Amino acid sequence: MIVLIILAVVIILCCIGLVSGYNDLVTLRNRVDNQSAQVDVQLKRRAELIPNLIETVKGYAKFEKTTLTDIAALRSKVMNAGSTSEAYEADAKLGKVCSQVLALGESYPELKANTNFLKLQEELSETENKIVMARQFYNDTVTKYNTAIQVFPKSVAAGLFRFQKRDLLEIAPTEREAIKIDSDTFRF
Amino acid sequence: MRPKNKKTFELSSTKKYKQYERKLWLIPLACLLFTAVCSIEKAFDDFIANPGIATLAGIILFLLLDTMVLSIFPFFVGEIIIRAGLKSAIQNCTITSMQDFDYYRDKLTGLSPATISILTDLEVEQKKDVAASILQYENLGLLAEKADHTYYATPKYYSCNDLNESDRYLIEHLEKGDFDWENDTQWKQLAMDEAIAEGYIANKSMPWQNQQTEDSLQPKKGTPLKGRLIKLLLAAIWVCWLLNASPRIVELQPFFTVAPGTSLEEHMNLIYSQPELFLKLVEMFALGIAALFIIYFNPVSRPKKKKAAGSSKGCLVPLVIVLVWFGWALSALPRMNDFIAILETAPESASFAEQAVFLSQPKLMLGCIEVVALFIYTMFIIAHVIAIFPAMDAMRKNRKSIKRTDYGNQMAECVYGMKNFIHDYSNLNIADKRQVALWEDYLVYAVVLEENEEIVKEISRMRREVL
Repeated sequence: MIVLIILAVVIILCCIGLVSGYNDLVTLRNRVDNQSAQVDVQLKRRAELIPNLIETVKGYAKFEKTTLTDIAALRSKVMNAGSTSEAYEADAKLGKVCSQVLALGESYPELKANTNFLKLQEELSETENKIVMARQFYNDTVTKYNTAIQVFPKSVAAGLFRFQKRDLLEIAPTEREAIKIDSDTFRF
Repeated sequence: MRPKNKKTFELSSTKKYKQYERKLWLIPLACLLFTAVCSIEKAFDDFIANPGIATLAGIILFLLLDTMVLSIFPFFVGEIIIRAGLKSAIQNCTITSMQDFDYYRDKLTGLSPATISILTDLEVEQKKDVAASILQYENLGLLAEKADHTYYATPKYYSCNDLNESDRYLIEHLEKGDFDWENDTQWKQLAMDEAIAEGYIANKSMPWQNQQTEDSLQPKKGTPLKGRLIKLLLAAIWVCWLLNASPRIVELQPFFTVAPGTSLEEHMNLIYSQPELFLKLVEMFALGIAALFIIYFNPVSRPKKKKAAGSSKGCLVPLVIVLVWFGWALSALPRMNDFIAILETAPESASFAEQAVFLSQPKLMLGCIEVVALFIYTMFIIAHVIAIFPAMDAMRKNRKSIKRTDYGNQMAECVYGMKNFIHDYSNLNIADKRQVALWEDYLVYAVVLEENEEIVKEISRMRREVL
């Protein structure tokens, strides 16, 4: 009888632990999803600003047709990406082109004096900062979640309810390179 | 906008009291240990003599009862003092939520670390607020640290014109090395004055120094006619009751007059032999309470004002508690006599099992429950009387002469959302000082909102090295 009581108590405690672990993991996973959505919002915001930037710069510098097509393709990839990491990857390339377009301001004093260009430059810079911050917070949230699903006793609940490990948003090797203006991209 | 609910910052000021509250449970634990050590031998002998669950249950019950009798008084006194301190600390850390959001992700533009700190608990905590300010100045490039951990103002600082007076004071004194790290009242005062000037907080005692808010510009409303009529009606009912009850009150005279040659016990027995006399006494108390209620009854619903300590309004609840105790104790006295009479028939020496059997008599069991309940109630009242001064002192220490304005309350809600965001969505609690370049203002917020204590310790350690 006593053994049965002890067994029942142990089972009840295990169930309580499992439910509590499951709830914690769901909370953490929702936070990861939420922060992922925050990164997407910022990436899309930047992608939406790019056409305006190109329109503004068009009057001062002529673009290669392929450049415009590439930008449109990258923008579409960011807007319709299936996951945050895909959107982030496409955005990294788009960001590079964007920096090159912004750097044109140095070569064209009239462009630098254009209020629309200056406003866009400021907005893009602000969005860039927000992307960086959102990515850092996303990575921290993912780290917390990944740690939780690997550490005992929550790993038991994670295994039972199939909580999957999430990937961090890492800087692509190409993004680490210093930005340089490519004379083939733009004709002055 | 309509206020929705209250939100409280979880800060060291409240955490400190909660820790004390947890530690308070050591008192009953120590008493239990003491009781167990004192009675272990006898309990063991009894259990050997009568092994069984009933004996074990009896031993445990008596141990718990002994523990309660020993620990209840110091526990109540401690609890009352801690609760008083906690309540006043929570008051400082509580904001009224207008927008009801849990997270705020944007930077708190325009708020200095000291102002953020004031908005959270109406206080400048110098150690962490200075650490957060230094971190912010370093991030902005206004201040730099030398190899020997002393600071110097950068050329950018000298070209920067939009700094607050408190920032200039702090940077200059850090550079000179004469900043009072323990308690620089001048810097604290400057930070407080700036928060008042920016309209985040208001001075309670000197309202003319505050920025005018919508609240203060509204005309004060008096009691409307309807309210006065209700009060008048209640007063008329009370007078009718008094007139009706006056003959009965006159009959109460024997209660107050002890006949010569009669002991107090005899006098009390005389009173208890006349139940209608007790009822009359209750009616007299009810009349008194009704009079107090009518005097302080205010039918106009207006924002709650803090009660002054010792006001008759604040005394009403304790008065009722004491009256209930008094009534209960008086009514329990005859039953106590019966209870004592049964107890006197108990054997002088008995084992735990024998005591358990003896106490299992229904009449005695009920008496025991009443005695224990009355004992707890009495201890509760005595502990309040003993703890009143230390409790008032704890409340006085946390009492602030400033309050948040409506604007300050809105900003404090953003700060609350930021604290939640940093807590739930980042690992800034383990970030070090060098990561300020990566996290910018968010690390500063983490320090000032007590999410990162390591940086405060690091800066304090460096200061000690310099000294």
